[in-house]
Amino acid sequence: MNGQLEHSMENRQTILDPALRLLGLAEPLASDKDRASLPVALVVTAFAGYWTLFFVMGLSKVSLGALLVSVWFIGLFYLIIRSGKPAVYRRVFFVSIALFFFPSFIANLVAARGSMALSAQDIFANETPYCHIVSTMTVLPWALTRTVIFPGRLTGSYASIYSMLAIWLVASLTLGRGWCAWVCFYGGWDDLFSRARKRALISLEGKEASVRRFSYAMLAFVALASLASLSAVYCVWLCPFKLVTEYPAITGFTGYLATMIFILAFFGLVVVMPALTRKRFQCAAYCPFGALQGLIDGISPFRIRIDTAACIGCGACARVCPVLAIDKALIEAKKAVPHLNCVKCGECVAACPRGAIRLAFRIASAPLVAPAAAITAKADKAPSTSARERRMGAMLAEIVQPRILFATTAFVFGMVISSSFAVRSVGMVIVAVAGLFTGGR
Amino acid sequence: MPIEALLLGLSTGTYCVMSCAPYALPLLVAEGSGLRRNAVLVGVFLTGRLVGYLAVGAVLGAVGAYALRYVPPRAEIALAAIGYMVAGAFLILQGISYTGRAHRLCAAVKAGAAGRNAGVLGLASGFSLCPPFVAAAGRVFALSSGSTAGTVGGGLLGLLYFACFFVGTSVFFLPLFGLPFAKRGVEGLRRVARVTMIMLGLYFFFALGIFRLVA
Amino acid sequence: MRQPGCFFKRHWQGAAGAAIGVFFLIATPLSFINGAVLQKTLEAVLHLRIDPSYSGGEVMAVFRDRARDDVGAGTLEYPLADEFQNGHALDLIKYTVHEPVVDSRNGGFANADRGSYWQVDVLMADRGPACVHLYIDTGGGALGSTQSATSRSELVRFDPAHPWDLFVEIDFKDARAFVENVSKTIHRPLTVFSFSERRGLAVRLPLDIPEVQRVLDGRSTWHYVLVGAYDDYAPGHFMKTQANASLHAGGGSVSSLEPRVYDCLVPRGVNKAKMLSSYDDSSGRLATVEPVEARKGVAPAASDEKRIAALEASAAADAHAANAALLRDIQNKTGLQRAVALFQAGRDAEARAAFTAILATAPEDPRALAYQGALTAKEGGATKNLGAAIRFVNEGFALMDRAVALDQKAGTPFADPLVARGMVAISVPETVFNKSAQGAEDFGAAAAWFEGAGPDFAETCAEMFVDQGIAFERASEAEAAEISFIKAASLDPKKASTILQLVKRGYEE
Repeated sequence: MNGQLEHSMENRQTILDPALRLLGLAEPLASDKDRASLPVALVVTAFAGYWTLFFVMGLSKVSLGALLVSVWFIGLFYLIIRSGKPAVYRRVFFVSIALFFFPSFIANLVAARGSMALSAQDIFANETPYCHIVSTMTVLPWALTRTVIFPGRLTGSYASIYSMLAIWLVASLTLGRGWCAWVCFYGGWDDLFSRARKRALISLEGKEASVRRFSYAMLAFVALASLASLSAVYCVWLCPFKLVTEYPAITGFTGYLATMIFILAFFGLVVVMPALTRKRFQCAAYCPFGALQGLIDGISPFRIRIDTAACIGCGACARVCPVLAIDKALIEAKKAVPHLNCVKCGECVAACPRGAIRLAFRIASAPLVAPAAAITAKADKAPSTSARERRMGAMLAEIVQPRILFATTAFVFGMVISSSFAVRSVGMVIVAVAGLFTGGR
Repeated sequence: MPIEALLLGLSTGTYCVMSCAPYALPLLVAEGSGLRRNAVLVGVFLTGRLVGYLAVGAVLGAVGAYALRYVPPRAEIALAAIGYMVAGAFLILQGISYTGRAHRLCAAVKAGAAGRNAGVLGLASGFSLCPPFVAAAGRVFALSSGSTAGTVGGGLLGLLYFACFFVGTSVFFLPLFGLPFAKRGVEGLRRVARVTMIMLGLYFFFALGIFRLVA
Repeated sequence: MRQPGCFFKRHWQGAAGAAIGVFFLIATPLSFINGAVLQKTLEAVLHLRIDPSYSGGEVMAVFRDRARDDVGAGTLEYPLADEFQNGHALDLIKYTVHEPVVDSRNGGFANADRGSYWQVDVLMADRGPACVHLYIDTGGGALGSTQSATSRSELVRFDPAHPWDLFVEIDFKDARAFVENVSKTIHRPLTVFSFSERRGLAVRLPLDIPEVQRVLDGRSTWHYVLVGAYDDYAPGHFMKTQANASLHAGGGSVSSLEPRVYDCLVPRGVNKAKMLSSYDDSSGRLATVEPVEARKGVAPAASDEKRIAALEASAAADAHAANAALLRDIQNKTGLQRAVALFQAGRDAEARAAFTAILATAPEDPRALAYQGALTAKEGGATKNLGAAIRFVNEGFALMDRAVALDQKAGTPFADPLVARGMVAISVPETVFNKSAQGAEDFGAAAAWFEGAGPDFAETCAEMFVDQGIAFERASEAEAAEISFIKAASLDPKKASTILQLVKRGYEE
């Protein structure tokens, strides 16, 4: 009855209501979760906005593209923090990163070497861009021999080995597997296609454990096969993202076969399976880097926590989890944390009708009591505390909530990684559109 | 000469472990049958590897300079490819046998246990062309040229060289004996290892085997 | 009464988590800004190197040839065609022999070498249409040849002690190469890669050629590397030479038997001009060339270590003598000269006071600013307080940056600001300040300044090139460093400290 009432009330709202809610001039919906207060939203947006302008405008030339990208990123961040639908806008942000990445990356390759194709000369010159997934194949050989079994550039700022290792180190310390939901410029593809259909045609219910295990098997296989052959096996044979990055030039039968595998992997794992299952199938089942990040997620300070006392076992979280980190078995076993492959996307937080799932600090195993309440409660008893001090205290207490800190950190990370790509891609679109109107003059 | 071979093995053994451990690791973890049995499997694997090395060493030593003159590198690569195909086939069949849907062939592979398979994998690993292997082969060519080429003496020389080389590299395989995941109870890991085994087998059989032969 | 302490005691985990979260929130963007520092730190810790099989295999032997010696027997001149006017295209700089690679990692490409090869690299001083003839003795013994493979195109004969078994022609004009064995039963195109902005070509000799396969047993091989001017129509594509240069012929040749070789590798102790002049007009005997030996695991000769020790002693004595001379002359100097002398003599406090006095009256004197900046940075090196040290160094660089800018604005009348900034750049920790690349630029500009100042400054110019090479090394730009050291060596420096740096790196004998 209450649900019907709420639903009918929602239907009576005007088109301006979402904007009014964002500005704090209307009451939030009951379904809006994790909605920061307006002052906090403005403060953290200012922080994120400063860094956005710094990296997007400051390190690139100031241009229309840079301006548009800045507005896009800052606007999205504000929506993540303030809209009450952080998971939705997180997804928009994440998908946009993937869509910004590939035109710029391909354009860079064409400018540098005349083609998307990777030739023997590029390999000889150790000019192959090093992406984060390669680390799963190079870590063990490096540990044993100090050599990198990948023909990449060691130094320099563009996709060099040391720069990607530095990024990996910082990402693992801050986000853990949150990389897979906030930063990875490949993951946005299957996140996008996993929303193509309203309903799943193939259900993975009951098969979640198998899918998770397969991802670890992929990691083990890729690591061992690379050890055995002293080559980056995933890159040479299995990567599904060659279509949107680069691929070896086809100069023989094996190259031709590998290219077929790349095409099939992209359409099969990144487009079709996510569409049919409404899950991020490639990321959940196939990506070895995601599996590795899941295993080392323990070093990041944030994790999703389930308040098993508040959980009613409805399974909504399991239905929406895009990477099968929560399943019925986990809920029934009353586990307080999802499986290792949780990407901290926040879908479960949004879906839980009881608010039993929250992003939390890893070391805070205590009950999820918001310190804001404690501070304000204490402050109320202290006659010397002014109303302003109380408001400042509450604001500070809200800012240091894990969901705010994580979302801001993750956004900044993803924004920095994609800033130059985004500006270049948008710039290319602007030039193309302008060319249509000016006839190329 | 034995000291040289031993030192070559000790100085380059990490490459050997990199090339050869993937043959054994999935099997060891998939079996997960306790430390003692794990040690037996590792011992069988290393024995198979030793047999492979001794065979290679004896043949290279006996043929010696003639091999350099008449046998192209593609022959070495083809031999390694066949080794990978054998290893790949065994890994695939062993992996499938764990699923319980035992075809007669898989059952035959599984029967006689992982011990025999470990030996076969070890033998196959003895033919893989890791850089230390190539360096050792080169030294055997050099040592067995001239008057010892094409003789039993050359063969013995090669056998001894590879035996000492094997000892040097085997030091780096010692950690496999104390593999922690071999202990009983880590069921999820064993399942992962079994799937890995099949994938690795496919990779060995096709990418490192058949495609190397025909390319 | 507020009791924040009590609150934190009870909620310490949440507070600690929040503190960590805030730390990462702030550290994340800062880590990108200081990404270069993070990378340099990783570099210093990890010491990664790329698996050499992607770029040709482990290096077996490196041979460096002097720069600017592309005159053959001594008088050869380049042809007059435009394509030969781009610097020193026929000047051989370096020749590298790799160890053979069996079943390389990128054997998936359908290259001529099929993944098993023996690679050699040839690096010239500049891009251009060079034609390089390699003759390689791989131990075929009497089956080899001492005659040219290409109808006497080079006008040389080969050392009878090392008859060649393989002939390789490398055409720098079109980046092509082929190999032929001595019996001419095999003639094959080769896989060729370019490097160093097409100044260098790497060629891969397939291991399935029997004469090549011999090298698998680690034996020594002997290499003749001959450089000629490329001519499409000439035999062996080696352009002819004659008395006067023309569009299709090199000049400066004094005999019809003079080798058409502009540059070549010579073994240690052999004089190249003498070797190429060993022809005999009366008997028609061609000049005999000698090969260099490529051998695995060659230890530095004992004489190198002795030479290095001698050079070190000499450099120390030179420094001591120079210091003593400075101290003697200081009394006779005034103003800036005196201040600079005090700086060079290491009397920092007095130098600082002198420069401060100069700057009080001439605050925009670029030299005074530069030395004052160097002194400030030096103070950073002397202090144990890390924060203060960084501050001093940054302040020093600010002064030196201003000095360089003022100097450039005035048309660069002085080299001191560039040299001072460069010297400080290569003295401060690279992982913190990341100044080596700028230092290399400064030394390059200083070298150009001294080069333009006349032949009297050749010694200082060589010092600048050496310092530039050191800066490039610190900035992990090995190829650029190499070119700098080669330029320095080709100026024939006499100063012990300069020669020492070159000998240590194998650029000088």
